[in-house]
Formats: sequence, structure tokens, C-alpha cells
Amino acid sequence: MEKLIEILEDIEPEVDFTSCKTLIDDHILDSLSIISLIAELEDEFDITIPTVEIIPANFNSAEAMLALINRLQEEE
Amino acid sequence: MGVNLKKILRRIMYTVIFFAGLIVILLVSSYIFTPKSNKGGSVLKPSYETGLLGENKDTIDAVIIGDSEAYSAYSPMLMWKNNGITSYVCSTAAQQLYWSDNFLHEAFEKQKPKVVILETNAIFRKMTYADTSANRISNMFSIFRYHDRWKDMKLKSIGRKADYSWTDDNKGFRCSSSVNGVRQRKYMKYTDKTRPLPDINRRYVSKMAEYCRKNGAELVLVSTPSSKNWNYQKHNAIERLAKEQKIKYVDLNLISDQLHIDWLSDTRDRGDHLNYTGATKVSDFMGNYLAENFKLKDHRNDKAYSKWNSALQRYLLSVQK
Amino acid sequence: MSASYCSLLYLAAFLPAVILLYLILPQKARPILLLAASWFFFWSISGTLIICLIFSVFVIHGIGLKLDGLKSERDEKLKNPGDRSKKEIKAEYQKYMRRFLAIAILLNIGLLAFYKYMGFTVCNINSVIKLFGCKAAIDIPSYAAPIGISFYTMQAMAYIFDVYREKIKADRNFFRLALFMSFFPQIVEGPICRYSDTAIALWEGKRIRSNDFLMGIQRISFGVMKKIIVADRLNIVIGNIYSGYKNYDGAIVAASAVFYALQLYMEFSGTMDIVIGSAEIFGITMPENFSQPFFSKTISEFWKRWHITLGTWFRDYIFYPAAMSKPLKKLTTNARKKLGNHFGPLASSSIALFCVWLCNGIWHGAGWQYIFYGMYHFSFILVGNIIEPFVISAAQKLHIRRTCKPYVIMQTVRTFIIVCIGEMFFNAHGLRAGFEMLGKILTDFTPSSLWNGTLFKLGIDKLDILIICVALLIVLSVSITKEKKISLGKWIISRPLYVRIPIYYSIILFIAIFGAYGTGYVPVDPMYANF
Repeated sequence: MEKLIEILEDIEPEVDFTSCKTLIDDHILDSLSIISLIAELEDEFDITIPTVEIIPANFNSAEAMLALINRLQEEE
Repeated sequence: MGVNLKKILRRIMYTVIFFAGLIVILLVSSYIFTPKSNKGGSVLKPSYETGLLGENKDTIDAVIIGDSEAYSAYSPMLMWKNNGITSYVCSTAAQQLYWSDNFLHEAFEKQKPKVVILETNAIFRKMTYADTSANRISNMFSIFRYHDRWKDMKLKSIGRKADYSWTDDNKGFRCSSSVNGVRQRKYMKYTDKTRPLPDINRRYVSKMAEYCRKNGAELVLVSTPSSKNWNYQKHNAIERLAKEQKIKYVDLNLISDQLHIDWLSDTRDRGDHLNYTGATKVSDFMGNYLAENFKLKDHRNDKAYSKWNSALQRYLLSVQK
Repeated sequence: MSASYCSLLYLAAFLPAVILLYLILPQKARPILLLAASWFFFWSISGTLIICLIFSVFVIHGIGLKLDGLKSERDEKLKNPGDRSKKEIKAEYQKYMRRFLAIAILLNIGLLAFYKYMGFTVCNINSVIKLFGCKAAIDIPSYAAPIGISFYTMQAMAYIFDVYREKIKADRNFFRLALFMSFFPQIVEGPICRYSDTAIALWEGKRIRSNDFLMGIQRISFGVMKKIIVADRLNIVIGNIYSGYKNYDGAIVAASAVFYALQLYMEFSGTMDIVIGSAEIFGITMPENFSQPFFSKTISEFWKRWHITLGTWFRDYIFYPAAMSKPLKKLTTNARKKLGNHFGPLASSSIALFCVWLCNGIWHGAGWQYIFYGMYHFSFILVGNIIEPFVISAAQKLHIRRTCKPYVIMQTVRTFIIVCIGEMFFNAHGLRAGFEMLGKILTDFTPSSLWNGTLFKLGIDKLDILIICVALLIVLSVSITKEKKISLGKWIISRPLYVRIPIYYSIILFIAIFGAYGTGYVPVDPMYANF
């Protein structure tokens, strides 16, 4: 989790990622940041995030992202 | 079940009440929006065709209905001058057959014409069931026809009595003296082929013929000379229709030589419409035709028609210009 | 039947007839009724070309099932991998699945290309041939395309992609899939629905609830108002200026550009109101296509609010797949290390965006002005992305709060102007005319012709402008309530009858009196029906 928050803050400073649950719905993360975020996550956690997983539900909060990462790591 | 049925019945009742109220509102607003004069206004352009409403009761013996071909070619005033017959041209640009039908009904409101001429070019104009139903709705609720009058309505005039006494000196004829001729090859080449005529148009013509018969008038189909709009295929279609419906049919295009139509000088737009000289020739013929075939009275010396004589003076002056 | 939903035939005959039958029939028969009505609707516009639609359904139905079959086969093998590694099995099946996916895409795009781009392609081949001095030009074929082919093809491809990506399971029921593809309100101009949005609800045949019914009717009335009071009233003046722009000065041309942007919005969003309202009557919630686009602060935001279902389609099936493709991902990672967080991903996302806007332009029509239109918006979004950090730092240095009202208004107005110019090219008679019009605006701008009467001779008078302003004010206030997430429609239906009924009557009268219909008016053709 900490690692994830660190990545997120690196990409988009000035956002409170621990509490925000509407990162996508409120346009806090735009497509540009999503692209770099995914590249970073894949590097860091050694996973591949398929396009089908790029949906608001998976990126609206840090927890959702973590759940996604864990799921993908298990599938590997 | 009982409760459910009650609920359904209540809903149906509400719907009925809603639409009843709507009809009342539409009727009231239709009354408000119907023009208070037949003279037209800034929104309703001076409406030559509504000039008929201002003519004295039972004074018009012939009504000519059709599109721009009709108002360019028939001058009632010339027919008055030559034969003393009273006629009126109820024609509008790009007239649809359902408008023609509207005009027919309007004509019989105050008049008892003995002949109704339907110019045949409009018979071919395409129309859909949606158009004709929209027309029917507008006939019921004239707000849909006159809604644009909001632009020049005044609060004062809302309660005023309608005054439909304006008359048109041209009696619906629209004069054009410009010449734009065309070197005409023979456009009425004989053929067996027939231009298809949609069912819905066919039915409108027969409805109109029936209506005339009932009201003691005869419907006559007339094709006005137009080298651009007319041809033998159309002629065949109308001839067949006329036979089916037992209606008289006169195609002036076939006898345009006899009428001395010269396409170099008698048209204002290269054979599409006639100009004033063309209209004179056609009106001369039509006046004689009507007087001879339908025994229309010569009213020239009838005191009750003195207004027509004074209108003729004004007409002749305006035409000379 | 004409292709317009804002017609007496649709609103007063077809839709009521379907609703009535739907009410009478038992639940099981209702989806069949909707499908029959939809096919009848399609047939009445495009006749035998309905074969194309059914063929598309047939293709995605068959290939969808095939993909599902391959998936379960793969999952079986993954359970007992034997001596092969899981990765190998996955890769093998992915290869098979890709093949079928490619067939489905080729068939669908092929049909679309055949109907929409043949003329354009041949035309361009001809000019290339001419370049080489030959005269052997090919005849330009001309035939009518099936109505809505651009829209249902997008739905078909979204479905097949989603099945491929295992987001949804393939539908075994051919007729349910067919109804999803051809549901009559959406077939002509969208919105482009996803299978997961509407397919299941459509097939349920739920009974019509009075609240849904009233909400639907209200929504339809709002759409009709937009269309016949504003869009139709502007039609003649726009036609006059666009076809004779050479005779008018820049101010008039600029006015026509604004008129056109308004007309396009009123026509398209009005039609969407009618479409979504029609679906709402049957209890179907369709995705929204507009979300107050003229409140956008940037072009990028504009495209998130304008024709939303097209934008999300391109985002999901072009942008992300392109940006997530292996070469671009590598580019992102490398660039990020060197260029930082903002410019790093920009390179690959720009390439992906370019693909999106190229497709967007081509999708709108076969013609260079549409491709230009796509590139126009692409460049504004690109420039916006590039200069964003500089703008932020400049604003900080100048002590401008980027959320303060004047700044936001400035951004909104700027975006509106850019959009208007873009739409001007979109509607101009060819690319060249577009540039000439822009030239007029920039060099020959005489504002006085807007009020000295020149404008009022072109098919619009002062009272027309007045009534358009009134209608726009109504639309604006509804937009503001929507922006604040208040539903005016719900507010109305929760009022007592003695408030509601007068509201309904006034809406009807307002449309009846101030609508631009009847003699002297030419209604706009459905603008998106030909895309």
C-alpha cells in the first residue's frame, strides 16, 4: 500500500490518495496520468494490466488499485 | 384485481380529461391565432388566394385551383372583360393537392361556383400520409397553421371581430411582364408511356371531383402550357385518371399552336411559367371555353357586379405599368 | 418513414402504437414486439438493406459464441496443463481468439467501408491517376448506405471486443443480441450502447411504469423544443450564409458559425433527448450522450461532454489499447525517467490520441474536411497537454487563481470559440470554403452588419432571434440544474396535478406557437443520421 501511495503521489502531487474514492469520476486522474500510472505499476509489481481492467471501478481509489494488483499477481 | 382495475380506469379517466382540456386549449388558441382579416399581414404575406373570401356571396361562377402554373396563366379580369364571367384563382406556389382540397372547401363556404378547374401540375407533387394527416390536424386546429402570427399579433386585436371583406383586383392572378424565352423543340412528343401517379394523389382528385358533384359543380382538369413541366407521359397519366373518374380534361399543351403560344416571348422563366402575354392568350381561350361549355352568364351589365367593372379599370392600369 | 425522430409519423403514430401494443402483450412477447418494431422501423427507412444489419448480428453472434467456446476450452486445459506451461496454453489460445476477432472486425468494418468510404476512396484514386496525367478515371459509385450503419457497427465491435476481453459472456440468444443492435430509438443516431448497458433490460420486457412513462414524455418534449424552436429556425439562415459566404462580411460569417454550433447541439442533443426519452418509457436507461458541453473549460473536457458514447468508445477500444501496446508502453517507461511525470507519458499518449482523432475524423464522414476536423481537435488537445505545466507555473507567478470565476469564464469562452470554428469547417462546403470563411472572419469583420439589417435579410428576423434567446435561456437553466445534479423532470412529476397539468399544457402551447414549422420553414435533416 505504501509503495502504491508513493507512486501515486509521485504522479499527481497535492492529492490525498488515502481517502479519495472518486479519483476517476472526479477527473483527478486523467488519461495521461493513467498511462504513466499503469506503466509504473507494471514495473513495480511485475504484472501486466490488460486493457479490459482499465475501468473506473479499478482506479477510483488506492484500495481498488491494490485489490487489482493483488488479483493480477495471483493470476500470474 | 378490483383495485388494479380501478387504478387503470382512473388512469384512463385522467388521460381523457387531459386530452379534453388540451383540445379546449387548442381550440381557444386557434380562435385567437386565426387571422382577423383576409388581407394578410407581415407574416402572412398578402394572400391573393384568400381574396376570394372577400367576394360577395354567390357571385363567383368559376374557381381555378392549382400551383404557380395557375396563377401565372389565368387572369380572371381578362375573362371578365371578354366574356363577363366571374372567376377566381386559388393558387399558391408549390401547392400540394391537400391544399387544393382545402381551397375547394373554402370556395364553397360562401360561393356556389358551377365549374372548378384543377390545374394538373400540382397533381403530381409528391406527398406523404404524414403530410396529409398534418394538414388534417391543421384544419381542425388552425393554431398549427397560423402559429407564426405571434410575430405580428397585438393584444388589442385578440377580441376583435373578423373582417373578411378585402378583395383582390387581380382575383388571384399574379402578373409578370418579364420575358425570358426559350427556343422550343417539340416537348409534347407522342408516347404510350405513362408517368406513374401515386395512389394517395389519385384519391385526392377523386375526392375533390366527388365533392364538386355533390355541390352542383363540375371539376375540370386543365393542363396549362409549360414546356418545362409538362410532357406526354404526364398527359397520359392525367388522361387515364380523367377517364377513370369521368372528369373532363383539357390539355392546352396539345393545342398551344392553336393558342399561338410563342415560347420565345410568352414565358418568364424559360418555359416554366407563362408571362403576361402568355397569360393573355391562355385566358382568352379559357374565357371562351368556360362561357361556351358551362353556359356561364355574362354579368357585365348586371348592377350587382359593378365592383368588377371598377376593379377591371384598376387592373388594366396596374398591368400597363 | 423519414429518418427523423422529431416527426409526426414517429411521435404521433409509430411510438404510440408500439407503446400500446407493448402494454397489451404479455411480458414474454414484449421483447419480440420491440425487435419486430425495430426491424420494421429500419426497413421503412432503408428497405432491403436491413440484410446488412442482420448480417452484422449474425457475424457477432457466431463469432462471440466461438470466442466463448475457445475460452472454456482454454480454461479446461489450464486446469490440467500436462507438460505444457500455462503461458504457452494462454498464448496459443490467444492466437486463435485473435484470428476470430480479426474476422469479425474485418467483416464489420468492411461493410462500413464499402458503404461509406467507397466514393471517397475512388475519388482520391482518381485524383492520383490525374496527377500522373492519365485520364482513365474510375466511375464514382453511388448508393445509399443502410441507416445508422456507423452507429450499429460501433456497437457490434464493442460487443465483440468485450467478449474477446472476457468482460462479458457471449450471448447465446440471437434475438436478444439482435434487439440490442437494432433497438429502434437508437438505431439512427445512437447513443452507441454497450451490451452491458441495455441488452439485458431490453429483453426483460418489464411493464411500463407511469413514472418512467412521464419522465420519458417530458424528456421527449424537451428534445422536440430544442429541435423545432431553435435548430429548425436557424436552418435557412445557416444554409444561406454557408452557401453564399462569399457575399457577406466576416461578422455575418462568424454569426453563422455560432448559429451552426448552436444548431448542431440543439439538433443532436434534442434528438438524443427524444431517443433516450423513448427508451425511458420502456424502462431502458441509455447512456447519456451530452453533458452540458458548452460549459467545458478545455477542448479535452469538451470531448468528454459532447457525443460522450463515441468518445468513450474511442477511449476504450482505440486509445487505451494503443497506449498500452508493447512498444508504446516501453516508450512511456523510458520517457518518464528522462522527461518526468508530465512529458513522459505524453509521447505515447499523443500517438494514441492521434489514432483516436484520425478515426474520429474518418468516422464522421468520407471527406478531407472531416479528417481536418479530427486533426483540428487533436492539435488543440495536444497543445493543451504540452503547455499545461507552463500555464500552471505562469498562473502561479502572476498570482492568478485558476479556479476563480473570471479565469474560468475566459477558458469557457475560449473553448466555445475553438469549437465554433471547428464546427464551421465541419459544415463548410469543402475544406477550401472553410479556410475562406475563416479568412473572412479574420480580415473582413464588420460588426455593424449584425444589427444594421444585413443579417435580418438572410432568413431570420429580430423576433426569431428573440425567441431563440428565450429557448436558449430555458436550455441554459436546465443545463445549470443538471450540472448541480438536480433533475427538473423528477421535480415536475412529483408536483401535484394542478401544477403539473398547466406545466404540460404550457410546454405544448410553447412548442405549437413558437416552433419553426409549416410554410416558410425547412426542417433540418437529422444531422448525424448520415454519419
